Amino acid sequence: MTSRERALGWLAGLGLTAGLVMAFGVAPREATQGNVQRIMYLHVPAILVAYLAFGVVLVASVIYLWGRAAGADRLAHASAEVGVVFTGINIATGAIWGKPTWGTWWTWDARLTSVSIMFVIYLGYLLLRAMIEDRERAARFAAVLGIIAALDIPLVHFSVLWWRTLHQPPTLLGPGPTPMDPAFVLALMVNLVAFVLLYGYFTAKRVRLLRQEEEVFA
Amino acid sequence: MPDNWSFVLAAYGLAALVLGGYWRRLLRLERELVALERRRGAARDEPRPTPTSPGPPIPRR
Amino acid sequence: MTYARRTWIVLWKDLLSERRSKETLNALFFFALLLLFLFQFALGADRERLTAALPGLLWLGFILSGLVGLGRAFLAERENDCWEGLLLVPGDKSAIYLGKVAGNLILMLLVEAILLVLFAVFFDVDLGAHPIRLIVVIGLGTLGFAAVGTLFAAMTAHVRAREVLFPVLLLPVQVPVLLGAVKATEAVLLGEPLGAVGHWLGLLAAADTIYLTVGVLTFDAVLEA
Repeated sequence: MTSRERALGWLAGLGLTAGLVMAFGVAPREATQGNVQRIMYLHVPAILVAYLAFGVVLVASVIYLWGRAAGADRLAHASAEVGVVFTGINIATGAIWGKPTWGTWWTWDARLTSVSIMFVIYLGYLLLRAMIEDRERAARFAAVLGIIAALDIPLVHFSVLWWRTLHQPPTLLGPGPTPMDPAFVLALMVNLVAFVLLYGYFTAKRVRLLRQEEEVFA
Repeated sequence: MPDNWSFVLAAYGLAALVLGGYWRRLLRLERELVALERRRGAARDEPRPTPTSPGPPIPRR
Repeated sequence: MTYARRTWIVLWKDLLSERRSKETLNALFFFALLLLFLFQFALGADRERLTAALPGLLWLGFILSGLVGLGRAFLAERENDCWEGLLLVPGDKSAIYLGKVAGNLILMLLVEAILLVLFAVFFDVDLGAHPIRLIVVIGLGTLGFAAVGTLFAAMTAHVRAREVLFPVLLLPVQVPVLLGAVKATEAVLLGEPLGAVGHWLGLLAAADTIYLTVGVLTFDAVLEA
């Protein structure tokens, strides 16, 4: 384990602890939803980190197609994997949040649907990589898919604004001022930073493991 | 609205399980790779054993 | 040889071989007929439900036939050992991509026209009220499908589990196109002007542009040996 990886790991742990303290100790009880709203401190940072992860996949994919640097390919692969994990957490926590607040575990409204679509798209990305034996070809094809997938996400995202939807309008990324109390925003931000650090740790570790894998099986 | 702490617990528990599980998977992969590397390295470095040593003792009835 | 000419040659070759063998077209025609029977058994009795579901059913039919057709997009090259021939084409390989997209687009539009006629006849629905608007919407949707479908077909051509991987990769990516196309078709069939769904058409146009651009820029990388 490199020292940078170790540092990231410790920082992530620290951040997660701080996040928990903020979520349960500092952030006030929400007026309409009650304490179930605290799930949001998991749910929203998870999807934002997923977007970050898939953005990294996009950039790494373009860099790989440009110069065929193996490092870029490994970064894309690792980032996609971690992104899928966080997307899964977002969907699952969203469902758990939805049951007491909307009365249903699942609804095919556009936002839930579009995040599930994104989940499946990147699962497909990982599947494509797994099914192509030639490492170089897998890298090339995954890069093309990574670019298409990432450019597709805003197209999928906009469908939420144009469809009848049960989900709230996006609190941080939607149009207009965010309808949230600063007390909540602070807790959200701390948890977001924690999740970004965790993403960094996981991705750095995964990239290193991918490189080691290549060396061992070379 | 009632507080639904069980849902909050379920959500945080699930997230902990998933993130922890992924972390464990990474650690396990690391251990396996290190072991493989060590074995490969050892196999490369050691000279092959000579076939002059006596075999295992023949069991006596 | 100019870029346009190379594109045209690929298109012409595919159209010619299709016109001679009619393999894909025949298969897709029967597939479309089968789909119609399926929809009838699943939904046919209730006319109201059918009319409400019509735009979705139409596009379901288009997509399913499209999957079958696109899955065969590089079949000729694969089966007849012509893949290397593609690789040896001089210059920018994206001309091959555009030629293939054009060919697949024409094939899909043909099958969709047949499906539309079959729908109109067997389900007794009036589809001809605003033909131009319908053509625009169907054209935009099908172009998006063909653009990504051709790219993914080339990528999965040599994968062992291609029949499974191809739809698994293509369908989720196509959701914005499917959404936009169904919504816009719904509006057209209700007699609304295209301006009413301008945002959906904009989305479709944006999607088509993005897909074609990425396809043109990356097809070289896909075709490498």
